[in-house]
Amino acid sequence: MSSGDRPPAGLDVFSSDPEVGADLAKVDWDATPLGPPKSWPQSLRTAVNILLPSRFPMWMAWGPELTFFCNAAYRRDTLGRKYPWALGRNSSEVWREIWDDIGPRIRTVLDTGKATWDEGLLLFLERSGFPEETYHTFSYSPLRDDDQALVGMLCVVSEDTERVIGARRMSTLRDLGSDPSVVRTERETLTFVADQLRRNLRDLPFTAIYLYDRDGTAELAATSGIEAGHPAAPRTLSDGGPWPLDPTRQEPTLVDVDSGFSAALPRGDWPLPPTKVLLVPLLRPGGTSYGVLVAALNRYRDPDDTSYRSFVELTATHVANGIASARSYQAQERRAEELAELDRAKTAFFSNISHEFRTPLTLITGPVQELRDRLPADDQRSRDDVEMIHRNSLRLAKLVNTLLDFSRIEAGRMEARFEPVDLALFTAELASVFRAAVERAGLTFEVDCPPLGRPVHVDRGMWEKVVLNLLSNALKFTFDGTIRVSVDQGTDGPVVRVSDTGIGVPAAEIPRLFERFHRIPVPRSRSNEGSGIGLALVRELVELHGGEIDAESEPDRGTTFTIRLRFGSGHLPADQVTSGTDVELPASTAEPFVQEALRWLPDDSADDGDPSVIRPLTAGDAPRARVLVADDNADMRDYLQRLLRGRYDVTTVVDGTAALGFARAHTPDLIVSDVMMPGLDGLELVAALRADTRTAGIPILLLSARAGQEAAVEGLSAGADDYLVKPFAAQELLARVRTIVDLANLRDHHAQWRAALVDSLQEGFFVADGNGAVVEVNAAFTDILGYPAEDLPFPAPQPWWPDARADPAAHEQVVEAHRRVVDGPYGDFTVPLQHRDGHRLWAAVSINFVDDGRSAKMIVGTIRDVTAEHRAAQRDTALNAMNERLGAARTVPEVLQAGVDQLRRQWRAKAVFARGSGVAARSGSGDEPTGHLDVGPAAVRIDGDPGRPSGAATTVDSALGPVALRLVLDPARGFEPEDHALLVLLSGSLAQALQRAYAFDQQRAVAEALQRSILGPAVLPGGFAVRYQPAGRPLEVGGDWYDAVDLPDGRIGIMVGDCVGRGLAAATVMGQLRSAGRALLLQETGPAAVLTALDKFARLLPGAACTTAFCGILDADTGRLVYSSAGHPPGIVTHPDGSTELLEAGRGTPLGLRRENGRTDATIVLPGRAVLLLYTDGLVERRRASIDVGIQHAAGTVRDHRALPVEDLADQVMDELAGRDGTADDVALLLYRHPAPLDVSFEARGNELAGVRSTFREWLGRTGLRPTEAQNVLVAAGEACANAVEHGYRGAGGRVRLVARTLGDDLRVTVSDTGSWKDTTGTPHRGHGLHLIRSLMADVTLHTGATGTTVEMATRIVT
Amino acid sequence: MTAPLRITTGVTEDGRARLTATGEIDLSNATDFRDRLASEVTPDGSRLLVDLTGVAYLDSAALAALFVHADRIEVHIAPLNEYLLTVCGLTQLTDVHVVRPEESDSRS
Repeated sequence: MSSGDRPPAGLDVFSSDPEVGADLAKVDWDATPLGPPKSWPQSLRTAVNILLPSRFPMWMAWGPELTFFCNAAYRRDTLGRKYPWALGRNSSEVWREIWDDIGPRIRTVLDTGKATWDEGLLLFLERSGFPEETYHTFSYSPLRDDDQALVGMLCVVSEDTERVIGARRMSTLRDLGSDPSVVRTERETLTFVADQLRRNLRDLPFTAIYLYDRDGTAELAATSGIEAGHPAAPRTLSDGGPWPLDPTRQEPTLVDVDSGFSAALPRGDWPLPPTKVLLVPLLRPGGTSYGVLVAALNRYRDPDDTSYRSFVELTATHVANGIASARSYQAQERRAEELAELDRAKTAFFSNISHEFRTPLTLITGPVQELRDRLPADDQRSRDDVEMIHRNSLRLAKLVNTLLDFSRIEAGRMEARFEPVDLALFTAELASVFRAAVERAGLTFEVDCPPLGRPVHVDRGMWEKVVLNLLSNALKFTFDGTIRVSVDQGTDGPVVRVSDTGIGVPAAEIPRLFERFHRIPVPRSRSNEGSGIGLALVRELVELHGGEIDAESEPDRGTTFTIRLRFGSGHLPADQVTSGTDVELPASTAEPFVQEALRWLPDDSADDGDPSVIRPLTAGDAPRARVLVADDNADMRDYLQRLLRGRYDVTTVVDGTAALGFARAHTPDLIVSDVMMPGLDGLELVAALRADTRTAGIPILLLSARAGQEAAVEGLSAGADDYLVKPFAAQELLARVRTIVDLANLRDHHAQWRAALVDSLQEGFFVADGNGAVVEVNAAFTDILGYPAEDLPFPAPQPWWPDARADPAAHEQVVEAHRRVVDGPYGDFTVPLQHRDGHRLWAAVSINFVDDGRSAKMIVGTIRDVTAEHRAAQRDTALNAMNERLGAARTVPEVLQAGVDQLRRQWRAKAVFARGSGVAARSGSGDEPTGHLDVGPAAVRIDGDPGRPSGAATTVDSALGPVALRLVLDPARGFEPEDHALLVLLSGSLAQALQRAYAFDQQRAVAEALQRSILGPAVLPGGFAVRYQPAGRPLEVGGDWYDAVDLPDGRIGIMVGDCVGRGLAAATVMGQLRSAGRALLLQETGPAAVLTALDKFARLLPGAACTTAFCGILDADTGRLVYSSAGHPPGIVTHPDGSTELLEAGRGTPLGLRRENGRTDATIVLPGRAVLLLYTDGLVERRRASIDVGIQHAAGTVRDHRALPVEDLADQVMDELAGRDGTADDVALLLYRHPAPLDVSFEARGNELAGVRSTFREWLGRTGLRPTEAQNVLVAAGEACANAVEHGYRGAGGRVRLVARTLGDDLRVTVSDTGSWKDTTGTPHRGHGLHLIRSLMADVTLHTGATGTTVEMATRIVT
Repeated sequence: MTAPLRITTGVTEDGRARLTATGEIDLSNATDFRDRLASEVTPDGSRLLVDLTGVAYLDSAALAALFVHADRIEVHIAPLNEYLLTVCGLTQLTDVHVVRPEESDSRS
């Protein structure tokens, strides 16, 4: 409105808003259906009067053409450039671009009279010169004319654009940051990132991530919203485009896409394709970049918008961090692979060395073969031995050959000779050699090999191995039923099947069936022999034939192996194909298989008692048996000796005790003992002999005078082998002795055979008695644990038990295992044991109960060293535990602490220390070892005995430089090579976690340091407290600030502000605005003037627009606060009675906006004890909660804690509202309690008192205390001061200090001096002093000490 | 700075002796006050009217002076100091009149 003009008639309806009203008045209303304003109905005038003064954005449509009106708030927030053009126009014209959305809604309102409500509706507004993505929450409500007819609608709008878009971006960033520990490889990381970005096609219509490879080429690594290979996302980025590439550039580059190319781009979630693309380098910590993120920008948002930019840049930071982490992980993995490669090399070595065995083997088998032929037919015993040598040399040769086959296959040197063969016939012949063995095992053998009609090319030697291995395997695991071999004609070639009805293979193990050295755990088999390479070799051989093999199996039902070959020779290497046919029958290869298989089967001849086996054991061949005679009767001794000495070496003793001693020392072949003897009698002797494993096997013949069945039973049940009643015939005695000795020899033979068998077992074998004492072990047992059979027996606790003190947990496990050995249940378990040389090993133990026919219970067990498997599992567990712990830690110190804690737990170390530049951590007690700081190579260094070290050290390379690690170990526990590897592995994990935490710390440190440096050292006026907290996550500098500055006129300038956006850019803008604000406060007259001047400044400063700020000038004497707000959330004043008031007056737009309303000052006088709280929106904004709720929460917190000192109150507010984990946004906070505390000190002289009193009286006035009460406090304090002057110093000079403050409804005064009080009793009139103080104040305490006297007094303020 | 204190003497309308103090009485000038009070009090005859309505502050030193002559004085004070004179016990020993502002206004 131009100044001075009177509004034309009727235009007073617009007078409630000087600006919008003026523009409304200029509309040519006569041209609208509404006509001139003076003719408007009262209802329309009322509606206009509702609209214009409201501070909520509103617009309305009235009349047949829905004529458009709006108010100032709507103009500012929504209408933008359409103002004032839109006024008085048809609404459908004004909102042409969104009429499709809102038209039907308005129609509904006008038709039904019901209001609508839309929350967060997406509308493309063209208010800034381009269609802009905006979100609005609005309600359309009906308007009626004077006759109650529906004639228009009123729309109340609030814009949600920032909230909706902010939430969307936050969500993307949050998802990107969600649990980085889950993501492993670079590929997975990138896939994860792309998946997340694909969920936000609004902010990022499409993205492409390019990574530089070794020679600097940018290769496409991931995309979202666009197909790889699209012209805008080519597989490789070259200089030719489509995107400019500069690997050295560290700043993002904004690229304008020409319209032709733009049309071809994916549109994301928008109707039109993007027109601008931001290229953001993926920076690595060192400064160079991994690659570049190509991010298409939403064309419906301002591409220069700081928050949009920082969103894209943060996204790129996430990608870069993910890649850094994945690459570090990859490096770890490569190390693991190198170890595996080492393992393969080991296999190769063994294979190669096998070759060396062949020559000696040949020199064994050849002569043995000859020896077999030469041996006389009746020397069965020698023949048996030679047979055994023969069989075992065959077996050894077979093993060596198999290993050699492998090494040949592996080296590609397997020389095959594929010749046309009648496969059915050949296979049937091979099968036939197994027939005897199969049938002897009691199984049905079916061979079904009808002729195929055409030859198949196979290498005879290899095919033999295939068939024989499969048959041998079938026989080994089949206990009843059928073994079947068949050859059929398949679709592409012959199909050979070997099936059995054996124990089968669990489904889970089938994939590993053909794996080399993998032995499937089986409940039962004919033999424990086996190297686990038979089936692996079969597969290799079949594949050499261009064929394939697979297995089907069902536990307890059987297994079928199916081999598919091909006819012809086209699939075979031409140089290995021959046309000739050999008719050589299988022999040399087959024999070892058959021989081996036969050995698994029960030996019929032994069971049948075939004399040919026993005969060699007769006296004639063997050395004379030694017989011990024990009898107390000398005649009987002589008689027995005479009877026996013709055939045996006889020794006589006089009683049981002597017999026992001799037996233990010499182990006779037979003891003939009288039952009735002094001392140890015959039965006791039997018991004692049987109880001792060394003598338990000695046969005993008891002689007794006691006849009758009971006596015999008693003797036999005691364990005697035979029993003879005196008198006996000489021939009978001789016959019995001979039988027993022969039987014993036979038993010995069995025992020897059993011992050989047991010793040949690859697994450790042991026998324990009923008390759990180990009484027998085999060679493998000794290999595993280091304790030889010579040291038997091993009663519990056995020497291989782990030390109960050094490793109580392991000890406990073994005690439990031992209990099972004694009491059952029997079965399998794994226990930690200690080798004789001290190293720790893990053994799989399988125990079973054996009834040996005697009364004593025996337990047999096998033991297998599973340390490697166990270690592997442990390593995984350890790695997982470490990663889990590290994952929970955030900062470098936390990570380091978690790392040393876990290392200590892992090795049960006494202590673990870590130290690097600027960081250190320890776990456990004890002194840090000297020299620990020495940073060395990553390899593990050992202190003391390598096997049983007292310490281990290594160095972790991390982003903060090398970190030395030192474990203080218990030497008793040992430290194996596996521990070395594990330590290196865990250190690697730690390094990776440190890297991650370091990045986090860096960010936080930078963020905080920067913010502090910009906010500057706060020398605050009295009564103020300030806080700043950066956003919780991601940690960043922000744009919030506070300031409180003493002005030249004695007042205090206050400012709290919030710049848009985050990051360094926002912080820089903030710093400048803060400085400018401070300068302006020092110059300008009032807050509105300061803000107006800042408006101008903000317009010149990029990124400063839309900053909100609260500016105030406080007169600390009177509590008068003049203030003005630039779009900032309202300050909160908490009155002494607990009521709160929001400083909502003096509001204006945020800084630097072009549309400017005059800024105004508002005034409030803070009453005494009121608290003023200023803050930025981070304090009160919460997702899914209205800001009002946050403001109420803040006000409530101040009210509830207003009795706290102002610093404590600030902590309380931050704790309750900004939380421990921080907020999504940064927070600045400023608190002031009126009046500021009084703190004066003065010379201890009487004539100073009046001046102090005057100051104090003035201060009391500010607290809002009633005058009479103020007078009481004044007098009380005056007395205390006077006392200090008079008694504290007695004229000697010194200073007195008076401090007064209000805390809620309490007023506290402290008067202190550093003198020493004279006894007041001597000066009667001063006695009134303290009495008076106590009468006037509620709470008085007096502290008198060597350093002076302090009087504290308090009173409650009654209002 | 010594506390500001002005002491005048005169006679009341009904002919009694009057001592009027205005200002503040504390450690720094209580001696003055005590001396002037002592010189104005007469051992016999009518009580001395001590008008302290213009005294904004008085501490235990001033009160001590009043106590000495409690039975020969009558004290007028402003309401501000009423509580003080009550708690120190002076009101029980002598006549203390609280003079409300309008009374002193009308009198001045």
